[in-house]
Amino acid sequence: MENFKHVVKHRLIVSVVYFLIVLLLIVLSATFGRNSGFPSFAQGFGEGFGTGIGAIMVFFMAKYAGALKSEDKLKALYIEETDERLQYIQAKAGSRGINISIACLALAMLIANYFNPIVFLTLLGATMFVTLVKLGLKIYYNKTV
Amino acid sequence: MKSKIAELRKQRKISQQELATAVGVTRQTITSIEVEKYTASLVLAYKIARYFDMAIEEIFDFSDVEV
Repeated sequence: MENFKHVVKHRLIVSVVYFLIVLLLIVLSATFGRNSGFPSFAQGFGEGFGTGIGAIMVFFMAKYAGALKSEDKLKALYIEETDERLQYIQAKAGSRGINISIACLALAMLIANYFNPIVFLTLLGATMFVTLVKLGLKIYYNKTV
Repeated sequence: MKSKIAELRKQRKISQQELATAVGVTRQTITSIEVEKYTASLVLAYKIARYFDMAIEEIFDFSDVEV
């Protein structure tokens, strides 16, 4: 459990650093972004996205800080992260999720082919990328497991 | 896979949460094993057997496993 405590401490530090970076980027965007020439929609989206990431970091910071204060919470977090059924569910959902994403992207690509070449090429690139990532991971795990 | 976990827990008056904490899994994992939705790994089966001070095959029913 002492090793896991160190891991959680490390994660807390990383969360704080991420949060501060995101906060800095939002402040910079809000201060200097108005005259940058970028579309206001892109800037608004970026700031909103950053705020969302910041909120997630706050959630993790609270979770890790709470676990470091209480041994019971630390053990509960450890069990939650190492539970074999949850890991099995995660692996299965991840694998199926990628397959479903590839199928949906391929279908959308085929439909877009008849309407817009730019959308078609974008979807083709995305489909190829996701497929290559899956293949790469399969090869990697076949060699390492 | 069938198991005697629920039966043993009742005999010894142990809750699912107590067993789960002792063997390092969530309560839901114990529930899933008891209702045969999930098959425990060898390591977890060993931990459960150790907890009840029994052999793995005394708790888990391997009769459906084909060799």
